[in-house]
Amino acid sequence: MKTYLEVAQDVFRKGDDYLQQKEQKRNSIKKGAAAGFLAVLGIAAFGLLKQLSDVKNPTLMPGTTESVHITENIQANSDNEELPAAIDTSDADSSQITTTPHQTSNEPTSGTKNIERDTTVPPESDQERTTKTIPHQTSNEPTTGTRIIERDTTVPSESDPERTTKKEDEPPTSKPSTDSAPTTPSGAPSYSGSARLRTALEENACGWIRYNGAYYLQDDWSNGNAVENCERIGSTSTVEGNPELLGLTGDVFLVTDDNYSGCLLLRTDAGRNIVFVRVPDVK
Amino acid sequence: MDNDASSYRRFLAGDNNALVEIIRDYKDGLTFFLNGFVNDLNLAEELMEDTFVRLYTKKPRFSGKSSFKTWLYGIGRNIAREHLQRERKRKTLPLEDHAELSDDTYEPESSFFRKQKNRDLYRAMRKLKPEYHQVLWLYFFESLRDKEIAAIMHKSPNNVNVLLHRAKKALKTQLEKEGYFNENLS
Repeated sequence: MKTYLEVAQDVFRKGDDYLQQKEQKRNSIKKGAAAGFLAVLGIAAFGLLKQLSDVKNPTLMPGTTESVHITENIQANSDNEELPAAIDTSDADSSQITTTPHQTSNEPTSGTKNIERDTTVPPESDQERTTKTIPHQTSNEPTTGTRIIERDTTVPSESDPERTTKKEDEPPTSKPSTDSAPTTPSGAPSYSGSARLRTALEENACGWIRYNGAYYLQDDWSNGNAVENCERIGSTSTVEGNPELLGLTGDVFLVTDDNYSGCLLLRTDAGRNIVFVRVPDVK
Repeated sequence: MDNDASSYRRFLAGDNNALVEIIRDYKDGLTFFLNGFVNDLNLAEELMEDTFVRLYTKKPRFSGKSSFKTWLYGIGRNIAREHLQRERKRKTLPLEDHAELSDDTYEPESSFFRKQKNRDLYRAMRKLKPEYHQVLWLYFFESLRDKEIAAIMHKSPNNVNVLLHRAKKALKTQLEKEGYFNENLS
């Protein structure tokens, strides 16, 4: 029979082994739980992304009509009302800058704006394009409040499968001829208004999206991330090397690719008046 | 008993030497008590160690409602029963066969068996039913009262008294078989 010291030794050894095994088991369970949680998180994220993708890229059956209601709250920036109509282009480098005439006066700064856009995909006979009617805002439209965009899209038939799927924020396939971009004295194009913005973007062969009330360009739709190539600049003072831009206030977005070539500077005040400037050489 | 309870409290506070003291005080008695379940002293010694391992790893709370010995033996009893249940599931050997296999190869050297009379008594007890063995051990060697035995064996005091009466009768018969007479087992 063991002495009590031998028994105590065995008890502590067995106990320590047991506690160690328990700890290892607990750690493995924690690791398993963490891995499981990550897996569940991944699955959930995938499902969410798929849902978002489905919403963004609805597939319409031929002959059906899509009605899209977009309601967004737009907060007007009081600074926007003080925007200059045009940027001083007297500087030597100003020839590279295109400014946009500002909105006309007497516009209220709050209220509701409704933009209705009906997009009807014609029957097979018209295979060129869809017809989009985008009424321009009137001079008395408010700049703060709720904006509703309605778009009805009718897909004609199955004979043209490429046209049965339409992205909500896909750039329009047609350019309104009446919205050709005006030019500044320096020769650079200038745009004003959402429709003109869209035209301008189309002229530059860029995709575009609307995000948090602002417009972003996207030069590669296959990327999938609308704002990945977009860089937001909080104030114009952060735009280095372009003193001409200091006259701009409000939200300014520098839209650029990775190497800052072919940059576009985009400014919007509540989506109503947009200053769209080409900035060729921002470094 | 208070000393044991305070030793256990010291152990809970982190003093492992206190557990060594408890092992010193209870290892023999607990082993022989557990032998009443398994009738194999080597196995009973393992179960005794397991009982202290459980104290060391789980650190169960001692409420003080009973004596420390009663509480400790209750833990030992649970461990022995768990072992027997596992053995039954394995269906290795019936408990009765187990008893026959474990012959008197073990020569007890602890203070319990310094007297020849006690050694003979224990040998006779080991040939009884496990329950008789357990209750007689607790009664004769641990000197526990019926209430304490009842707490350890999870029986009522009345049941313990009945069990103890039958166990004594069986022990007397066994001792007479082995040549002992006039044993006073009351």
